[in-house]
Amino acid sequence: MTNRSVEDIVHGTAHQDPKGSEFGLGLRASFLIMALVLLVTFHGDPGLITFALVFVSIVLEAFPFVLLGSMISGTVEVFLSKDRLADWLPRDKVVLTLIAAGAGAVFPVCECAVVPVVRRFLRKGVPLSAALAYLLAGPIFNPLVGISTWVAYSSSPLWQSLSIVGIRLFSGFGIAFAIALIMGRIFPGHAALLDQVDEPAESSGCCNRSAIHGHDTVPEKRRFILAVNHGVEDFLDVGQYLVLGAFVAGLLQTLVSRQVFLNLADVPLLAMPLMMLMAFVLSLCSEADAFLVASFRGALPLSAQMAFLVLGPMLDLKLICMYLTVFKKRTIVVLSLLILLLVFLLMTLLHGVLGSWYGQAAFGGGVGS
Amino acid sequence: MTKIVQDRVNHGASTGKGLGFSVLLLWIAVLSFLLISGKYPLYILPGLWPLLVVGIILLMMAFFAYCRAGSGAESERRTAWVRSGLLILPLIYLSSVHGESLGVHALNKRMVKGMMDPTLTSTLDPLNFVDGETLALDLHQISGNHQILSGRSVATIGQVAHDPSLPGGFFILFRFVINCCVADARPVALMVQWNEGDLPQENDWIEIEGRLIVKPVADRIAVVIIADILKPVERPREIYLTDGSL
Repeated sequence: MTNRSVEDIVHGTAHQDPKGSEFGLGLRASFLIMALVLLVTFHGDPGLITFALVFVSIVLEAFPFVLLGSMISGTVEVFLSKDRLADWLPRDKVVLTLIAAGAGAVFPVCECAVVPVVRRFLRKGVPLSAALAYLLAGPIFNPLVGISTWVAYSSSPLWQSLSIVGIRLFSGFGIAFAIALIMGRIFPGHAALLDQVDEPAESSGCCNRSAIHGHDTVPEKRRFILAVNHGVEDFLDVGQYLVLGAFVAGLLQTLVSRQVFLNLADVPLLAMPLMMLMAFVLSLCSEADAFLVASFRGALPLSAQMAFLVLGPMLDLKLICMYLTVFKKRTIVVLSLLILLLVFLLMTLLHGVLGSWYGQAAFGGGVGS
Repeated sequence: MTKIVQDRVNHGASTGKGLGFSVLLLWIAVLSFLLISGKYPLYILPGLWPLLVVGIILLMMAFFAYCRAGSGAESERRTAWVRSGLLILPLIYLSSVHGESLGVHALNKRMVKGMMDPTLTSTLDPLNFVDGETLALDLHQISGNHQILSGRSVATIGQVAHDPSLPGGFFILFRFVINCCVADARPVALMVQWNEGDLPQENDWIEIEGRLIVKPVADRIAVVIIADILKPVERPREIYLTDGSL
C-alpha cells in the first residue's frame, strides 16, 4: 500500500463510501443483520421463499445493468475530461436540458444503469438540470420502453396502443424536463450533490495518484485498466443500495397483496395515487412494467395506468436507495415530491381532458379490453 | 496521529480490496453456475440469458483490472465489511431457496378479482383446430382464449391450489407469467373439476386433460376444465410462461 498525504485523507476520494457517516454505516449494518436474522428465523416458510425469489430476481436482473452503467461511468471518468465535455455541450442550460431529456432515444438506458453514469457526469461538471433530465427521462423516453409498452397493450386496437405509448413516452419526457429545470433553479451549483460527488475528479485522491488523475499522460492500456477500476468502485458503491432497495421492494411485494391496491383503487380519487404507490413499491424495470399494468386495465382508468407507467422508471424504492449515492437527502426529498406532484397533476389533466375524448370504455373497458 | 490515520486507512484499503475481490469472484461463480446449470429461468426470463453472459464478462474484466490497478479506494474496514456483506446478501438468499419456485403463497398475494372469469379476447386461430382432437396448450393460452376453446378438449400443465370457497371436487390450476423476472410475475388460473378421486395436493405439478366449458360455480360464472385425466408430472424446465406463448 502506498502512503498518502493527510490532505488526500481529509479531502476524501472519489470512491469513499458515499454514506460514510457513522449513522449511515450503522443503519446498513443493522439492515444486514436484520436480513440474516429474517432468513434464519423463517427458513423454509413459503412467504420467505416468495420474498427471496422476488428479491434475488430483482437483483439478478438489475446487476448486469448496474455493472454496465458503472463501466460506462468509469470510461467517462478516464477518457472524457472535464474540458472536453465542456466544449461539446451547449452553453445554454435549457437547450442542454432538452437534449439530455431526449438523449434516451439515442442512448437508451434502464433506471439502474443510469445512476452511476449520471453520478460520473455530475462529477465532470455537467449541470444538475441536464443530469437530472437524463436520469429521469432516459429510462422512459427510449425505443425499448416504447416497444415493450406497445407489445403489452397490443391486444387493444392499434390507435389505442400507439396512443398509450405516445402518452407514456412524452409524459415522461415532459415531466423530466420540467423537473430538471425546477431542480436546477432550487439547487444552484452543486448544492444538491453529496460532497464526494461534488469533489472535482481531477483533484481527488482516487487511485492514490492525484498527480496523474487527469489521465491524459497515462498510456492507453493503463487508462483502460483505470477506467474499469473506477467502474468497479462505482459498482461496489451503487450496488449495495440496489440490494437495499430490492430487499425492501421484495418484502412489500410479499406482504401486501395486489388485490388490496385494486380494492382501494375502486374509489375514484384513490385509483391514481394507489397505482403510483404500487409502482413505487413494486420497483419493476421500465421494460416489463407495462405488462403488469396492462393486465389490470379492465379495472383501472387510463390515468391510473399511466401514472404507474410514468412514475415507476423515475421513482421507486430501489431508485431512492440508489439516489442516495448521488444526492443529499434533502435533494432526494424535494425531487421525490416534485415527481409525485407533476405525475399526479399531469395524469389528472389526462383524466379530465383525454378521458372525455377517448371515453373510459375505450381503455378500461373490462371484458373485451 | 498522522501515522495512525494513515495506517488505519492503509489497512482499510487492503481489507476493502480483498473483500472487493471476494465479492466479484462470488458473483462470477454464481452467475456462471446459474447459466451453465440452466437454473436461471427460476429467477429471470429464459430469453434474458445474454444478460448473465454480459454480467460475467464485465465481472471478469473488473476482476482482472482490479488486480492490475494496485491499491484500492480508501475504505474503512467496517465500511468495507458492511458493503461486501450487502453485496453478497442476495447470494446468501439465493443459496437458501435455490431450486424453489413461486407457489400458492405467491398466487394468493398476486391473484386479483376476475382473473378466472371468461374474457372475449382470442389470440389463437380456430382454423388450426381439428374436431375431436385434444389441444395441448399452456394455461396462458387457455386463459386467453376461452371463447373459442369452449366445448373443446384441452390438455395442460399447472400447479394446484385449493380454495375453500369452491364446492367439493373443484380446485384451481395455476401458473405464472413473467416478462422480465419473478418480480413482475402474474398468475393465470382456471378452475378444474375432478370427480374421479381425491384432489391433488397444493403446489403439486399436474397434467390434466378434459373439456373446457363456462359454467356457474359457487357465486360466479367461471371457466372450468372438467378433467377426465389427471396425473402428477415433474416441474417443467421453463417454469414460468411468457406473453410470447399467446
